[in-house]
Amino acid sequence: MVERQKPNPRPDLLGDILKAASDPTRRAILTVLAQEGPTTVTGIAGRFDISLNSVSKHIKALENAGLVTRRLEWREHLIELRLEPLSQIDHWFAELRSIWALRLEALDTALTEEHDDGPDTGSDP
Amino acid sequence: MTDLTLDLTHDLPHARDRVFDAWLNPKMLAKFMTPQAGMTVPEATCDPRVGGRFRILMRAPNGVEIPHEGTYQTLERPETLSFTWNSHNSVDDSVVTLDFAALETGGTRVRLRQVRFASEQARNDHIGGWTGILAALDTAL
Repeated sequence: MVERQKPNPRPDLLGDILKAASDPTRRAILTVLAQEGPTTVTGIAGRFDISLNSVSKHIKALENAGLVTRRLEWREHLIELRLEPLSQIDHWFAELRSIWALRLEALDTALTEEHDDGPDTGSDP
Repeated sequence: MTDLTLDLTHDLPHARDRVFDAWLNPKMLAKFMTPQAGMTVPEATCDPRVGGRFRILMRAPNGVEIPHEGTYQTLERPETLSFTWNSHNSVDDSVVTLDFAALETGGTRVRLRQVRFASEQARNDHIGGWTGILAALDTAL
């Protein structure tokens, strides 16, 4: 329950995922793959106003973070979105949310106690 | 979850000034920044001014210490407080914003938002947002 105390077998997988996805072009590539399914590298490049070479670099970065895989089909590399790492982001957010919710409840308790102890009177109606 | 912003709201039966001040009071921080039973905060310091730093050391029941620290960005008592938020294992550039609204009952509604990659998101909200990707994820799972 502690934020990233003992995260994953691969220590900063989440960090790698978030870093890879922090680039807007890479997020746009992920969106294309999410909406259209497996797409060839040239197919992806056709969607953006950047060189095939830089599209390849972006895809490599996503591949390193495990966000996409590639397979060879008809002599073309098909790039496919991997949803597992994305669900990790989802999971991590749910955890973070519950941590903050617990802190806000603890704040309630701490303020009630402070009030009962009486060092800070007069600020409530 | 629609993007990389964590957004939650919580109502507290305490006056707004007190709720706001608790976030800048080391003694109070030590009491409530403990998200787990048995967890303690042996050390909390803060320098509450824009650009000032805070540090909160959390100790888990197994003895593992997790330092959290950040810099205050906005201090508008009693409405808004925002600070950067880093823990040693987390991704940097996370910003926490707290908005405090006075309720008619005399209590306070706290809205907490934590944003990752705040700068990229502000710049590029219109392209390559998380919304499309995660909508697809929702459909897929």
